[in-house]
Amino acid sequence: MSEISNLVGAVMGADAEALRVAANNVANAESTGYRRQIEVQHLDFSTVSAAHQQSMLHPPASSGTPSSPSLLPPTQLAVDTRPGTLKNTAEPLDVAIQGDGYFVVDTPSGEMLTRRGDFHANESGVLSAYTGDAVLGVDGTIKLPSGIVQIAADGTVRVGSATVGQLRAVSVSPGSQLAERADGLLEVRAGEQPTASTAVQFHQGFLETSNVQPVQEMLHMMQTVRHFEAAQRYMRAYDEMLDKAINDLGQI
Amino acid sequence: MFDSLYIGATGMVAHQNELDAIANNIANINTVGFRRGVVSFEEVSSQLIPTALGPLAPAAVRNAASAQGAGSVAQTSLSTLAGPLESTGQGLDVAINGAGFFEVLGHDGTPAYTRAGSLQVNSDGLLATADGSPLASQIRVPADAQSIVIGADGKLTATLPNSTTPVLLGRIELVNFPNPAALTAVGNTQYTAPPEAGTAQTAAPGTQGLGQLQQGYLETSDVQMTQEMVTLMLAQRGYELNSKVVQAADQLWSLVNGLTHS
Repeated sequence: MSEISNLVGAVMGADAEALRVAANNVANAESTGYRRQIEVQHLDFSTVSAAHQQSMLHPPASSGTPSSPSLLPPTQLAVDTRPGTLKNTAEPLDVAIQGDGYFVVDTPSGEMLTRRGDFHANESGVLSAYTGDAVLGVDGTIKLPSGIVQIAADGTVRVGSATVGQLRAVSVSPGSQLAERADGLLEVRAGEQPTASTAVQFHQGFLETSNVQPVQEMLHMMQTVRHFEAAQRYMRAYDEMLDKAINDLGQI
Repeated sequence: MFDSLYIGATGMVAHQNELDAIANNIANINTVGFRRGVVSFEEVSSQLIPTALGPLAPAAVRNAASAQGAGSVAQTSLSTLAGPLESTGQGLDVAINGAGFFEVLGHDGTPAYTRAGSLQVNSDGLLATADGSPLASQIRVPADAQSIVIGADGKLTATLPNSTTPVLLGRIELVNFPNPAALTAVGNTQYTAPPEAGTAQTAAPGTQGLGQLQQGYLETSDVQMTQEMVTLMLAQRGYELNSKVVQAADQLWSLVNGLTHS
């Protein structure tokens, strides 16, 4: 009897998740190098409902996170890899990559990738990413002596007339997903080996903006809210039906 | 649903911080030696939402933990671009044509750094900035010194009444940091250096990548009105967009509350 309410509940949970994804995109519409998240739901609701009933009958030993609002399996998230536009900042240590490639950042837990090129020199003059970890060039970290920094399109870093290093860009094989860490750096899944990018250009004094499009997110949000509303109407209709069956059917 | 409300709220707080930075920039559009605050938005994980929201976040949010990044924060750093130099013709106005800062002793005796070079001789007879903070180089200028000349290399010479040849009174030195964007503004266009800025390197102007001094010039603020107006518009619209997310989440809640009728 409760199958319909389970189904509609699952639909509402999925909508809440969709709104969370849209909220995340909108909150990061101005974050440098942010790539829009897309939720991927190829759901067959009959299997969802069956799975849910299974879990109701045989609840798992640990009840999981209490805050999870969804009856559905967690939404799969994909990253929209279309590049954002390049914004001129004129700051000498802002670098944008044009083309398919990522900067390599040396963190305590291994090499991570990022598109964010708002670099700075740390307290000992080493070129560092926004997390404070060193940016890796072709020959390791890049130490900047004081002076005017010039970065060429091929990534060669010059201070004055001396070459101090060359920026490195790597790419991952198409279709392989990068996992996002809490600090926004991207982690290559185990077994993958990024390869050196060819045909990328570095642009000094530019930053890549996020690829979030407000109109798109707004439409998505409107659609989600209305869909949620429709599910709620169904639920109320079902409730009314039960009400009739329980309270009115026996009356003469 | 719960998450979306607070993710939207972090976006609103971030844009509010951006607005604060723009207001500060515009207010200082004519301040000599002012460096623009540059706001950068950063994605934060949902575990950090309570930090991003500050007192706005209720205790319940602290327990919400989902793996994906969520919300954003705005961080302000100092622009490293110099403003244009403006000729003033004043004898003790000095601009730095390039990188570097004047080191002064702040009111509490700790070193502070500034690019505002409208110098004067303070009540102790020391060369000081406009607010009376003496330069760390401690150059004593006699009250009767005339035709003071500040060379591009920082050498300060003046003619004293009892002689015809100029005498060397001292040398203005400049300071730079590996990471000048981390300097913190403390008012009076002075900055202090947190540990992230790195060790201060003192040298004569024109050496070690430092700029040369230009007497009779002042560095104007590097704030550009059109740029600030465009950022202002974006901040306002971004705030609005995030508030719509909060509204949508609210609507979802209200629908949930309407599930049982009467």
